Amino acid sequence: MAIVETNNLTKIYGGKFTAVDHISFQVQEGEIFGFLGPNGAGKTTTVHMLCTLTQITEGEAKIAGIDVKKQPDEVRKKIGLVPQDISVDDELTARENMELHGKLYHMPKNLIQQRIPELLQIVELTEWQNTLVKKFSGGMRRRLEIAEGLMHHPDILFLDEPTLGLDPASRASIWEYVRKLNEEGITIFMTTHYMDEADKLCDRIAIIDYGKIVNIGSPEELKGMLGGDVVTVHANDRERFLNHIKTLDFVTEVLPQEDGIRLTVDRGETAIPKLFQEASRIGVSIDNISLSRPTLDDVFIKFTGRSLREEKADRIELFKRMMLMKRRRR
Amino acid sequence: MLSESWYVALREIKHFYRRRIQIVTSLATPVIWLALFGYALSGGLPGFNLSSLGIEGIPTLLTFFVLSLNLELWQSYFLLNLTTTSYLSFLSPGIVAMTVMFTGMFAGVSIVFDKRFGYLNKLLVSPIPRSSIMFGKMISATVRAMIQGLIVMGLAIVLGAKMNTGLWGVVIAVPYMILFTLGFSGLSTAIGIKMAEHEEFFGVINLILLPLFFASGALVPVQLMPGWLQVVAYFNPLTYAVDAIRCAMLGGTFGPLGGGYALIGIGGSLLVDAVVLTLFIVIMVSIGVTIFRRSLK
Repeated sequence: MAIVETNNLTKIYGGKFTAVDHISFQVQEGEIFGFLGPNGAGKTTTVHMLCTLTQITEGEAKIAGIDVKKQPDEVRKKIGLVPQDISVDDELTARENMELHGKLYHMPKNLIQQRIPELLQIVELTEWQNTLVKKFSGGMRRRLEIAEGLMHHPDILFLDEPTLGLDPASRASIWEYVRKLNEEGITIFMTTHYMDEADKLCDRIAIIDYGKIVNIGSPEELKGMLGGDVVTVHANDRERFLNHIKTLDFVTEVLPQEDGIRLTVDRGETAIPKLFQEASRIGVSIDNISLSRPTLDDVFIKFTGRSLREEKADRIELFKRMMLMKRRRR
Repeated sequence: MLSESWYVALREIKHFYRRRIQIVTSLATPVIWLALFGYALSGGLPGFNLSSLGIEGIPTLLTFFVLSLNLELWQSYFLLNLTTTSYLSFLSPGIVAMTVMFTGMFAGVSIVFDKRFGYLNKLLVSPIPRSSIMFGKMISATVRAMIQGLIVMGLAIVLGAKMNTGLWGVVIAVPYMILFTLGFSGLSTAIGIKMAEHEEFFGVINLILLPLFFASGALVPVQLMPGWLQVVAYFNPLTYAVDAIRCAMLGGTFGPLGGGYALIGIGGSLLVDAVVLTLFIVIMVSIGVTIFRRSLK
């Protein structure tokens, strides 16, 4: 059963800036669904629309069959949100934060007292429960935030960039909790701009760029669309070599990069010797060659022409976009 | 609705309790007003009030003197009041009201910070009525204002302000202080929800606070103000709060209705104050709720 269902979901800020552009997708009950895309792609805006925080401009969204626009209060009871900017209260203790959360969700007192130790146990914060949150590290705050999001037993938990700004050890432990929760039957909707995170954690991924869904599928399906391994070549006469390999039949796709050439081949191990032969045949020498199994970054490049990693190129454009969204959100 | 508001309020009351040292710093301004302004004008400047000239003890003579001035009836009353009441006693209710007003008016700053640190979103994702966030802020501001207001009242008495009515004064003053704070904190939270940065918020609030303070009966009897300022003062809710607290503490009034330094007349004055302040809170809270609902759609 689909727990999240959107149809042409759109957010236009101030009548002209389209942050989310007619996206339609479904999240099935019990899966870990990921939104993968660069900063400013519209991930958070989508989550905020689904969580009733941002008004939907156009289209519709349903959570557990309930219309987000028409019955926001019913939707709020079904969802938990772990926001991108950690928002647990610094000046309360971990336990007080969770108690307050339970009260806001109208949970009976004894249930609150029963859930808190259970959840703190899962995120391993039991011994810190009476410590003020301002003494917590970033990873501990994030864990508390996750525990809080689970207090009221939501049907679906939204995690917006759950490991942003965390060190590798904390990231790994967050991944572990997410898996554990999912095994207990909670549907997870997460956004991330880390490919490895999406790859390792998600059952299905929607790749989003400039407010549009580029593709949806399991990590394997998406990588399978590349049709093979990726070889990156740096040759001394780039143009000539580029024109030549376009004619070769064992190369399925050629993507010129800023410096090298990226190509997709059926089998990387056999393609490399062939490439050397072809190069020497037309008198071009290869400086550098590398082979990699396809990653989600390659998938992203294939569908958008840009790398998730190289955000530097249009940083100014991106900055403008982010500022615009921040201002509009207020 | 009420229980949710209380949960929202409880969080801030906990903050306040943890930062209780703040009470001391927040008392600096009222204490400076009382100690420097109130004291200075009570005895330091001879001639400002007749009691400092030693006429206090001869009421008959004084009455003749005042009557010989051929003033309007209220002016005679007023001068007679001034002779038996020190400026500090006159000022103290004004400073109590000021303290309460400032605390109420800064209630909205916590909304600005909640917005900034994302806590507001947490409240908004939860299934509570949107306006309970506003009411929660109002409740916590009122609790703070009462604590601070009563401390200032106590300090004023320690410094020598009169409390003619004893404990009854406190019993009468507190409901007025509550009404007054609720009105201002409603306005303040509505402003807070509209502001993105706390600097903007403080700018707007200060723009409102200072004129309100000076154009009220807190420092000077309204009757002694120039005509145009009197008009402003009559539209200023602080005037009525000051009047009510002054009635409560001194058992008499210099307030909007005039009236003598006697228990006769207080009832009417207090009634007017109650009506005006209730009207004030109704208007402010309706404006607040409307703005709040609109910006949180």
